[in-house]
Amino acid sequence: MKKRKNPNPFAINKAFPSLILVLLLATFLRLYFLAQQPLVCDEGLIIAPNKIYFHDGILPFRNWHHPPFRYFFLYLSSLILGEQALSFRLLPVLFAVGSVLLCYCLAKHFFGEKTGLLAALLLATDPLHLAFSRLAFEESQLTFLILLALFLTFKYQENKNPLLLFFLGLASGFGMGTKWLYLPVYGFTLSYLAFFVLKERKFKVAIALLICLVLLPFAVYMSSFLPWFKRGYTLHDWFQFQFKMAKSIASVNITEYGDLIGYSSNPWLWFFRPLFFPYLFQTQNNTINSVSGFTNPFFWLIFPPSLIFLFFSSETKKIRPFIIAFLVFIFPLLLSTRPIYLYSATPVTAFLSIVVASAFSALLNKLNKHQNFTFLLKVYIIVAILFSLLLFPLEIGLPANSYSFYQTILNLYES
Amino acid sequence: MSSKNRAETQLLITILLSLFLSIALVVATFTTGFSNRKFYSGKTLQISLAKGKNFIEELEKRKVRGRKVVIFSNSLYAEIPQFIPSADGQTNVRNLACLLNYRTIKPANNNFIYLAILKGLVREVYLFLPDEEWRRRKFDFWSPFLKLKGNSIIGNYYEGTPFTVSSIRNFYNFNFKEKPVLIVNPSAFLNWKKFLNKIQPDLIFILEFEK
Repeated sequence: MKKRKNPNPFAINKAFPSLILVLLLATFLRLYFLAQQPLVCDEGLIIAPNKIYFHDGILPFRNWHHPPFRYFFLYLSSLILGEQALSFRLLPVLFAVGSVLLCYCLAKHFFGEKTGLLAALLLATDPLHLAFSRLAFEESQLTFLILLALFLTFKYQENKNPLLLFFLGLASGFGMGTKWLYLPVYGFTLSYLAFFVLKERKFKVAIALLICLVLLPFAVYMSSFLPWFKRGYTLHDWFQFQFKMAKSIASVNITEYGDLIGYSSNPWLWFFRPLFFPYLFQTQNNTINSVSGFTNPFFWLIFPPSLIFLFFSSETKKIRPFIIAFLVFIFPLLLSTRPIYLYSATPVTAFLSIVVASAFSALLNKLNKHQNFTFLLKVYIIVAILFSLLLFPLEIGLPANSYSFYQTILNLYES
Repeated sequence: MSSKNRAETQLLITILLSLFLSIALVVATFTTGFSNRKFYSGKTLQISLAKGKNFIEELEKRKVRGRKVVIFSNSLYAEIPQFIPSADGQTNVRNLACLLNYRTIKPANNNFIYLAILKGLVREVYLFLPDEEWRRRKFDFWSPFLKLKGNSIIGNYYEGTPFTVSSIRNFYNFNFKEKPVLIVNPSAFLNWKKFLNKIQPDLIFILEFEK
């Protein structure tokens, strides 16, 4: 693929109007019907203890083993906008739109504006990312922080601006404090940059790396427990608590959650079967009322071959570190012996969007003389995006009246 | 300024900014716990179980905060935090007002330890039962969120607060590391005073059941 010089991703250029349209689409899809959408149980688990954590340092009854930055932005939002469903859900929406923008920036960094726009469009319409970024929990925030960290890592490697390390350190601290699912990405960014710094033998940069990417994230992560520390706990108590959290997270098993465990909680199957995670699913009088996240099999099925194609093609080697980052992220989930719920695949949708968009762009470029084939590829993308949009009512709790039509689609899916 | 000097300056600014912020965060977080832990000069108080609310008032009045609590009792319900199903959002989840009122949900009035945890006054709880009681009722404590380990129920946290239940026979195997608040049911533990040499509490509550 032709190498392009990557300009400032935020500079106004020819792609800017198209990018704005994509961002507006992403915003609209995430704001429409947001206040009327029914609350789901996991939102309850986060909204209910939100204020009590900041006032009294009490961690929630059910999810005490997750780090508490997930509550920070929800609490901030409720302070500014009041305690209503819309205010709790607004920041996840903003993080989601930010993720779409970062998707564009990352894909553009690898293969140019058109790939960036396609990646942004895929994420903007992705039914899994869309469904879970409308809910007041941490998946949208986590996806944003993962993309931000990777973007800052690759930009630093390109222009060596040390201030990027500072922001990467902050993003890493917030990421770890949001959910420990961030940790593999942290491991990747630290190892990746350390490799180049040690190779170049720059002592001062190594010091900066140590402070920005080890000390600073640790300090930011620890500070998320400040309300908890206010109850009289010490650093020793805190370290013990981290071990307890890890043990509790690792010990989640089928017997504790019974009927909540289905096919969708096996990460291997995410790539090979159409899956959905129903928070709310009712059928009445030929109407389906559903708040669910769906995988789009048009993209998930071609995700692994796209990864392989991009990784081994000599023309697309610039994206190899990004693919390695994804593999580092997904392997702990694949190897895990405990159920992993489908909403944890929300960050995967961002990787998927960038990889699939890059693979499509590479193929279109490679086969531009074969017009029939390129036409088929474009039709495939359009059909796949339209399929994503078709699922929209089932993701947001909007009553879907075309019962037989949607039931036909749902028959393809497993939960 | 040459580009090399500019790069060096940026690097220095980054290092200093990150270092300053990290140290400030660590020091602020680290010192918060110690400064919030309040000890009392030591006085025995007597309260009756029915007046569970007074227990909380006494703790607040004496600014006893961030403390470990050791309980000698045979009572299952008064000390064990009760799970409040509606408080976790699983029920009434569509009612936002109910979720937001979670912090004001009152458990049973005799569940004063839970109330103390809820107010952030207590940071760790140890409950010791008479040996016979432990043998008879230890499986009553089992739940997915409290696990049996050896001769104690420990490990899983309730509301983020470590909670341990064991038999009095194991008492001397525990290392409390600081003086706790002691709550005693003297009718279950006639010779409770012999345990004071190990823990030396600064505050003792003696429970009297209403007749």
